[in-house]
Amino acid sequence: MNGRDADPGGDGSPGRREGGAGGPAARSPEQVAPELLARMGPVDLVARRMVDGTLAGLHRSGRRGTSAEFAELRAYRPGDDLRHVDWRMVGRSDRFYVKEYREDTHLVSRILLDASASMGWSSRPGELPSKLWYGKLLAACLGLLLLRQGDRVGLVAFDDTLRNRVPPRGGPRQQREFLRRIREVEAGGGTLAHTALRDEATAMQRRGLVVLVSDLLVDPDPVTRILTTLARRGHDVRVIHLMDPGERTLEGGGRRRFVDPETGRSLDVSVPEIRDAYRETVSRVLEEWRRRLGAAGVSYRLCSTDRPPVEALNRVLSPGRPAGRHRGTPPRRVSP
Amino acid sequence: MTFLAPLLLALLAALAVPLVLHLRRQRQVPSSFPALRYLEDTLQRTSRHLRLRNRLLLLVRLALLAVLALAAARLVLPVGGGTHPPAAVVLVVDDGIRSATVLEDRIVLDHLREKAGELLAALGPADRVWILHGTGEGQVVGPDSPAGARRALAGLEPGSAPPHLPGLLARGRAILEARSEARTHLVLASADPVAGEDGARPDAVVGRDLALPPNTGIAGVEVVRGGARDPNDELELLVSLVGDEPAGREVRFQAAPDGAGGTLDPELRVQALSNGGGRALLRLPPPGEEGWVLGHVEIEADALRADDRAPVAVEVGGQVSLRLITDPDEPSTSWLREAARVLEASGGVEDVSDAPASPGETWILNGLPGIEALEDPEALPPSTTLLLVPPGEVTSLPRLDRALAEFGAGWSIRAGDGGRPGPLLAEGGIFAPGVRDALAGSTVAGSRHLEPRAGVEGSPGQVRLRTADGRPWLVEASVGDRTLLIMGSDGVAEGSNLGRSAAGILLLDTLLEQGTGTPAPGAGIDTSVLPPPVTSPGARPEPEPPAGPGASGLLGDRRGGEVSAWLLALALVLLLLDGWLGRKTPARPDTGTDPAPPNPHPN
Repeated sequence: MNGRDADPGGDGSPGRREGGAGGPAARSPEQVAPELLARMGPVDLVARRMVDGTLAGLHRSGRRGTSAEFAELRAYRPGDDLRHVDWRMVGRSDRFYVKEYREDTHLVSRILLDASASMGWSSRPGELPSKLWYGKLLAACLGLLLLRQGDRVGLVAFDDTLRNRVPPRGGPRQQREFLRRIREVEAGGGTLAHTALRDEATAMQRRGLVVLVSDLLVDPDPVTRILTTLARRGHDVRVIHLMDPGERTLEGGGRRRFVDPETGRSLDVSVPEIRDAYRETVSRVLEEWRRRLGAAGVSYRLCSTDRPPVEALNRVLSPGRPAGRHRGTPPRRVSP
Repeated sequence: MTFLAPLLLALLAALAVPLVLHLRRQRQVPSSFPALRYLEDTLQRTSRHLRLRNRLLLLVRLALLAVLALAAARLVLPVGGGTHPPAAVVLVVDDGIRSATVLEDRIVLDHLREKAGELLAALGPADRVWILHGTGEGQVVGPDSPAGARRALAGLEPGSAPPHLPGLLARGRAILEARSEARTHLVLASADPVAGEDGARPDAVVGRDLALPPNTGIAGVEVVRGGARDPNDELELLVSLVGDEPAGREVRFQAAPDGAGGTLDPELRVQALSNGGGRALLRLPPPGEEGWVLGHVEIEADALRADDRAPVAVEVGGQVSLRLITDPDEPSTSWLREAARVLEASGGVEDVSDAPASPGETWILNGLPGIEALEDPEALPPSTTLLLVPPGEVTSLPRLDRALAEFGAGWSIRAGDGGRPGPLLAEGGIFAPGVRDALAGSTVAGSRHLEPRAGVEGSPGQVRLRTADGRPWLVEASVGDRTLLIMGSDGVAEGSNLGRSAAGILLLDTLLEQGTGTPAPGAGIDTSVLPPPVTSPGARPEPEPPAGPGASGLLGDRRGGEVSAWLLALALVLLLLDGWLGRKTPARPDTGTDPAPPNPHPN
């Protein structure tokens, strides 16, 4: 049942229908990602919130700048550029006002990829990809997408500790580095995600996009706390919850001894007896995650590894809640 | 609480199956599963419930199996007074010689009494019970209440001969057929593994499960030499043994003690070993004087004592003079002559057919010569006993009937419808028990119809034997100083086997003894046909399942049936409960993803 970082190969879609897995023809996520994005066509990832950046870009900034989008009038202060004085208001009120415009900026994104041992599991090795493979594919797609639209993207792979870190940068060089580092990520140890996340959160100074790709087999309280803090600081936080269908439904029969790949703990259960209650537990846990993260303003997306990655990408790209107007072509959703 | 099919209680062993399954710890192969925390949460939440549910399931399944086993074993509970209409029950009890067999420190009859008593306990006070038992045509006790029947059961004692169970069952069936009760039951209580297989079949049998121990008994004693004619002849007794190991047995003869009227030395002891055929020849010294040789033969006692000892009474001298006036073409001639030869060989009969007639003789008549002899009563010496065997051809019957009328007999004979073949049932006391039993074991059809002749004054005489359906078969009439015995058939026609069995010889022997008017102090030549061999369990034929409602399950119909129905209903409830407890709630459809957000930009 265990398949570490199983790779279904093919065109990146999991499952038998996409050509099986694990063989010599299997392909890594960073190879599949460009093709997948090509299939999706022109799509953008737009921040749901105002973010901070140093370059003009696609995303709405909290700063007042010089873009075409009017923000407000404010009283003239010495030193203000006279070009921005609203002469019409001067003529009307005999007082000097300066026009302010909302500044569009580039996005600083960080993709946090859970690389714990549990992520390397697949309920049907050879048929379904591991959660890590699926997560790497999503991360690669998101990274490429953001880089292509001129944003800066960083990668953090973690288990108990930060294992692989690519600082947010932009440009073709970053794209190569980003994909290389994604390729290097392998399922590792336990998931004390909150320690790694806390370390990373302290390093995030500017508001930006934070995408957590994880199976969320973690202690929910500290993780929720950190994500809430990030959201309160103005980050656009998105959580992609990866689940293997076997984790949701507890298939099989008879008495089984289940062993946790991270902790080594084991449990003897009669699967038919417990299956219904287990599914209820899973539903309850998912609902709890949805509730907690929703309350914190964090976008939560549940993705099952037996669903096409295109569908998962569409979910991730769609804004969880309207964040105001944005410039340019709206993101196009692609049918899986 | 009783069980009508207790052997099926073995099904209770099935209770071990769920117990073993429940207690068995399966060897489990570990498999990786990362969402162990969800499993732990689930177990923490449901373990108590699951444990309770599993225990309940185990209990329900055990109860279900137990209830099914009890229902299959036909549990009878002493509940309620019963609301069924009154039932008529005939209980045929095999209290023959085999019922004296000792089994587990009790005689078989006690076992049968107990089992029959359990059945009677299931009856209500309004039910009527008859008990048929005894040898020959048997005795009827009842109708009585079940309580009275139980008292009658307690008073039964083992007989000295085997009962004629087919006859008793036929009689019991006849009793029930005459009843108006809606429910009638014929029950046989017998340890005989094949009892009830012939003739009228009982509705149920109790006691068949009793495993009778091996038995060897004395089947008969025959005088093969000496005896009747010359008191100075040696007397040779041929003792026949039957049973499981008749060969190599020591057979002893012991003369009767003083005062019994015997002619032998009271101290006389003779012994011999039985040969491979189960026969032993005992040579007794010449008695030296006319009279009765009395004593008994015996073998080593076993579980059935009653057939381990047989009395011997041989009359020395005092022979019957027998004259055979027969037609060689008549079917009955051969067996009549053979019987006469055997009797003559035993010493009690002297064939005087070739000698001039003299008073006191016994004449056996059949065919045309017999009719002619009857037509000429003047030629008959005084005090003659005439045994008339009717002709096989019906064309001669009218002439015979006329001859009888002219002779003055109070009986007429004509062609009958044959009747139902069956045993001959003795009436009156002239037949020794062994002879009665032998006759009851014969099969005879009443092919001739005997009835009292109209217009004849006085009593026509006595009926000595009847057919199974109650018609007179052997009648005795006195005409002057002569005795006339008329048989209802020739003994071999229409399925009769009297002439082909020892019963015919015994019948003739008794009739000749009666004709001489010299009753034996014992049993004449004691060739009492003792019970058929009681074979060992290993050799016992496998009993077929009895007809009707299971092994002796008949009287449980009322209450056992009700309880079984209730048990089955309870089993159904338990089955539903088991299904409810073990049900699996269907999993909700799960796509594995969040619901897709609405497309903000539809085409």
